[in-house]
Amino acid sequence: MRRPAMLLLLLLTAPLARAQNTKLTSGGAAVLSGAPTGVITSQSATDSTLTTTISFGEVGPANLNAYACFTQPLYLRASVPSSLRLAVTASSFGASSGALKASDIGIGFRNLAPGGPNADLSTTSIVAGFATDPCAAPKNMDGIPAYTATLASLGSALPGTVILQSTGAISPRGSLNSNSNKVLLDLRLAIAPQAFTVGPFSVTITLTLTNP
Amino acid sequence: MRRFSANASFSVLLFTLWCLAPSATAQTTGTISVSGSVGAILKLTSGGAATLSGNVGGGVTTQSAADGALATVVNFGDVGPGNSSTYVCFTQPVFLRSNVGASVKGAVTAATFGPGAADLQKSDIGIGVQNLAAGGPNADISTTTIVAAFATDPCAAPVAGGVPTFSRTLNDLVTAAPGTTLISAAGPWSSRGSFASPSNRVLVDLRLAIVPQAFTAGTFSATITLTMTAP
Repeated sequence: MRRPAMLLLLLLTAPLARAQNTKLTSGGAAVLSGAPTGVITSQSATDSTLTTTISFGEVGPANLNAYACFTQPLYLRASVPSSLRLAVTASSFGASSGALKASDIGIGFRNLAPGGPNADLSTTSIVAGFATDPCAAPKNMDGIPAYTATLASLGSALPGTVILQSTGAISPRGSLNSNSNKVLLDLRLAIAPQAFTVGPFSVTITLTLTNP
Repeated sequence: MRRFSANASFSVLLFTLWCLAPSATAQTTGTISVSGSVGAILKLTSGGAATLSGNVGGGVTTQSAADGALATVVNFGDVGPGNSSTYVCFTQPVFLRSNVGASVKGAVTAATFGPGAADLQKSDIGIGVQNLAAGGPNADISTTTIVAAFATDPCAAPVAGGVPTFSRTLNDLVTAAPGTTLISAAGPWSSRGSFASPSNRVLVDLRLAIVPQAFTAGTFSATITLTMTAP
């Protein structure tokens, strides 16, 4: 009697012990604005693995918009304390001093909100500097923006720089597939078109939701 | 011994079941791949108020605002012996911006001069480029040169017997745009900032000069088109 009971107990607890207790997925359709020749090349479906590819297109003076602005909605779930970390895991920028650099791409996180009654943001905070909207950053008279955080603020090694922290569970109830316990968050990137040196650039940002 | 064996078997079974137990496949990472590009762009605009000096009659008829499209009309007035000035001198400030190496070229795209040997001709109008300077901290003229003969001031050309010796005249410009190179830069003039920024513009003065002389009475006109090209 004792063995089957213990076995049942362990079998019931085993999946819990092995389960991932954090989940980060796409929060829906990404949006690109102020980028006449830009395009969202590919993106994943809502609540699936986040894999988005975008081109800002032209970000030189030929782009007359104040900002080329990219917004990626995210869903976060965690039954334990968690941190959202970001790393620039690959990048290619021009070598000249006038070339666009990681420091010319502003980053910020906006619209943190519970996605349902079982989401809890009472212990969650966005790290200062990352809580502002880079697409509304002030500019000086030369059209050069003053971002509070840029891609140069992120580490290059995984899991990366902490940008959001929760000391408690953000998803205290429900499964990690539930709509009721997801947390909504928008990642935003901005480039102010300027007289950068001619050339292409590329960068890969990896997001990881860790415990804690 | 038997008890130990039973416990061992039970442990192995438990471990196997743990391994086979369904694990959650929650997603904890994601990636965003970003790219973009910066294309070449050039901008040539008025650098502000044009000036005319030494003139008798005439004047700057129309001109655009600083940083507006360059469209200036100037009348040199009387450039015959009735004008006792040493020179009639016209200065047009120009703003240049580019994020690649660039050249400024000039062409005489329209002209009307008298046919006589003593008529004022294109070769009687001196041309030069002066006062090349960075307009701000984001402007770079380190790779910029004014083509040698165009770098002198036509309004200070030597005059002998009332006849000037210009190092370059409108006769040295071709008639088809974009025209003859006046200024060239191997690298960008503008580094960062918008193309409306005063910090990344390069300043330069285009200067034209006529020494009043006993030309045959008549009128003349010429249209000079400035074009910035890359490189």
